[in-house]
Amino acid sequence: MKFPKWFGLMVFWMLVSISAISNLAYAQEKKNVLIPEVNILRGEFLQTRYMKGFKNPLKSEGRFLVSKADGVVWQGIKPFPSLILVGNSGKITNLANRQKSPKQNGKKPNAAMSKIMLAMLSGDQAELAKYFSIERSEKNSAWTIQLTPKGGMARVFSHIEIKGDRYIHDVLMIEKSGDKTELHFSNVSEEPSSLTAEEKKYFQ
Amino acid sequence: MNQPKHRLAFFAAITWLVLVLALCFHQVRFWSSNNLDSDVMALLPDTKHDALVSRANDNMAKVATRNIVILIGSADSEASKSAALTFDARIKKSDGLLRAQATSEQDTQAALDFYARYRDRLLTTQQKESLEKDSPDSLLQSGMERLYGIGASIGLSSWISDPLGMAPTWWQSRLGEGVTQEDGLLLTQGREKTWVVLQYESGLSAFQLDGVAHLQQLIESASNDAKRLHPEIEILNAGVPLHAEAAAVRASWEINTIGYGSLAAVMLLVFFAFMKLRPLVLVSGSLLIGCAAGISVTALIFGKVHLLTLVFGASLVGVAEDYGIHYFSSRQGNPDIKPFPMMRYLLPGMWLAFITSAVAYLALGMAPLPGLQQMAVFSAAGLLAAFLTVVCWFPYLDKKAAAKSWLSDKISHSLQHWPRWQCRKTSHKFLALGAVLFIVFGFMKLHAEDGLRQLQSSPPGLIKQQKDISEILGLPSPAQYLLVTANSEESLLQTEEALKPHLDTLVENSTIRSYNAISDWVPSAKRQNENRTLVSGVEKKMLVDISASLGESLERPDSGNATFTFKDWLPLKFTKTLQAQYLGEADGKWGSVVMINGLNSEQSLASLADLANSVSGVKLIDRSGEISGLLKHYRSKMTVLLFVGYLLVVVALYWRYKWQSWRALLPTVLAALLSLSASAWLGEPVQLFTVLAQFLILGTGVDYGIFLLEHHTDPSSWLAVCLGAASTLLAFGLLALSATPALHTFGLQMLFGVGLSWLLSPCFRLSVEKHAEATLAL
Repeated sequence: MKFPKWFGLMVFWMLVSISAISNLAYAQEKKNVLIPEVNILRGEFLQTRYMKGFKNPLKSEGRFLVSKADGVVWQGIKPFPSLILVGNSGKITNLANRQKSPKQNGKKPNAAMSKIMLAMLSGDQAELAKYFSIERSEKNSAWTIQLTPKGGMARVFSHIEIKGDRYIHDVLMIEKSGDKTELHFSNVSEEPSSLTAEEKKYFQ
Repeated sequence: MNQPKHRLAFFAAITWLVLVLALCFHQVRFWSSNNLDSDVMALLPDTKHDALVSRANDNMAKVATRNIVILIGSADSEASKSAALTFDARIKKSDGLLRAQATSEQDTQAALDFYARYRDRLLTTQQKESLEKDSPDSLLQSGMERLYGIGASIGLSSWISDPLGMAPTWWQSRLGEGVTQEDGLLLTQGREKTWVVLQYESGLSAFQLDGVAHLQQLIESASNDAKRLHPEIEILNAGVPLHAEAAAVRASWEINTIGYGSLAAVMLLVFFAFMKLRPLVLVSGSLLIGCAAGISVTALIFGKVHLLTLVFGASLVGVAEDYGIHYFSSRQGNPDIKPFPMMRYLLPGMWLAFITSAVAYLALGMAPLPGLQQMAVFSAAGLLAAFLTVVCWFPYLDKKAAAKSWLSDKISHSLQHWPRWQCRKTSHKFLALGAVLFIVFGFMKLHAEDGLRQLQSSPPGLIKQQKDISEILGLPSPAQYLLVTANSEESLLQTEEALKPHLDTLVENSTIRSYNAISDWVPSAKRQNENRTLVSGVEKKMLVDISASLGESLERPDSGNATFTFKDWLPLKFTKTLQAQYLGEADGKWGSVVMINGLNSEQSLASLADLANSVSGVKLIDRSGEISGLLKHYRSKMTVLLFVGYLLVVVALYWRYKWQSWRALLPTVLAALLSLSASAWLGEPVQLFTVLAQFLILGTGVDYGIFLLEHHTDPSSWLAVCLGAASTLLAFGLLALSATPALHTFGLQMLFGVGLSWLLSPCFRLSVEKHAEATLAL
């Protein structure tokens, strides 16, 4: 409430880069050509991060659920439990401490990344193409996509690489700051093809 | 005997010719350099302010006069965005008429790098609170969450340089709550629509008087393009340049209507009165020279000529024709007298008439309002030039007196049949009673209004859009803001920081919507050091904890302990508004402006004034209030002067006409009272310009009375008066059509006042017998 929108506007054009990150919209119904499009996708993830200043990589793992109509749920299991919901409107909710601090919801800057992930996982190239130039190569049934950031996105990412076949398998993200993140997806499946009653609760 | 006088006349005619040629030269330069002013503020005095207040006023005005904001909204955000892109594409084709307000990639990077260097000196209020109050455990938890978050860490720097991710949050709060960005467009929500915000800067350096709304047309054509694609979208636009342009277009129409309208009327009257081409050409020529001189002299004295001066000045056409008409009607009435002797005979009277009118006009300039002074100078200079043209040139150019025409004959002899006031007649008694009632009830309806609005005429559509945009987006007022001053830059920033919590309270209880202070961008050194200590303390502890649990030995990168000041900040190519808020130093004092957004009611203005009084070094600047106060002050001052004027006229009349004075005075007094009550009946408020019109009514009205006492028997002079009054009435009648409330009021008052005193004066004329007596008595 404190800062007038007007002045925000004044400085806006220099901030495009930053807000571009935190406001990647989830566009629906976009024609998919590069990454297979899915309605429902469940699976496990293993994330490995190589961070500046750290000797060892940071590993975390958990499960994920993509619903094209509703959004993505990231359920961290190791090293500590977490539950993050990315709605298809772009709103991010930390389901783990929803009661604890409702004000914080939707403001975590790192959650924005989940929206790019949402676009990757649900195969929304049109959305990705807004921020990256895309190069695709194919070998047998496997494909590789190279994302080169453009505009403000180039301030954050050096490069992103996505690999997959029927489904997405690996994502490698190299940030300008030198931090690097690898994501590996496994046990990915489209069944059951609709949300269970429990899963539906996430998106309410 | 005649020789020296003729030589003198010849010399005068040649001198005047040289001056008129110089005038032509100046006119060419004036119209090619475009020295027209359309800013309402330029009409108003810069009240006695210290250097910082003046600088603040200047800075705010400079920013406000260029910016234009466009909102494009639809319930479907995709439609809004695509419409906005279409709109913008059309604007881009406009050759710089409107320029997007964009910061280059380089400047953006420079600003990001600059703030990255000092990132632990910058905290929003919420961040500061959270670092101070939140338990180390919960801070550690959010650090860990960022570390293990899904996807990239997404900061402006690596995780280790900003483990809590505070820099992006700080930037977002600079960007503004509720403002988001998608696809390179700025979005905001409101009225159940998603609005794309486009910002432009007007590329027009000055306003042309070509009567074309260049900016508005461009915006309309861009809007049409966008609407063709998405018919349901709503487009709103606001910005001072649009108002200024609308005023300029309107003014150009008014100048043409009043100027050419009165000129045409004068030409018709002159033609039918004299039935010859020469008087027509000569009288028109004197008017053109008069108007040109008005413009040139005003431009020479004031540097620029304001549009409203031109609108007002256009009515001069209806006043300055008097001298020419007077000359030709006298020639027509007395064809035996040759041009030069005729001019010598008329000269004393014409001088007197010129001086009284010029003095009446110059009286307008007594109030130290630059706008009024321009109008006064314009009119006086214009009258003088028209007068000199008649005196110096007409005897040379006029060869043969015009024969009597049907019209001149009719008018000349109308005086004999004019009704005469007779207090014994019952019908006249009723008439008097009616007039008294009209005046009394009219006066009961009188109300005063001194707002700045009387000088401004903006189309209601623009005003509504401006309101809508303020509601959706919030627009700060360039005329009402807080001025902060201190003895040093550091204490200036500290004063702002002491003020901001109070403003936060006003925002919380919705007294104001929001505010913007430069200390948000450049905190005081004290605050920077506090923040740095706080942040580094929290981060060091967190890194130790995380190192322990992960078996790492993390080290916080050294961010140095330097603080930054305006000197470092100003070279960043930030937006002009922000830079304009920093006033720098003047007379050993530093100053800054805190802009207030959503200051809509008297009540919130009052709370802000209270706040300003309670924090030392803070002052509420209310330009609108100041100006209203000033207009009110001069309205009452001029009212007193008006009474003094009447008193002087009474004394002067008594000195010449003794007890017959009332015959000259009463018609004017009646006309003044009737015109004032007539405008009250019409619901027009009394304002400074009403009082000023009353001055001119006194000046011209009494003239008619004097004339009838002096030249009762000369029909050719009565013809001159009637022709003069008719064109004067027309000019001011046309001025009453002006969209500018002040000029409208002025025109209306003059129309009523001059018209009534002209019609009423002959009603109180002396009867033939009494005239003889009176003449004997003198």
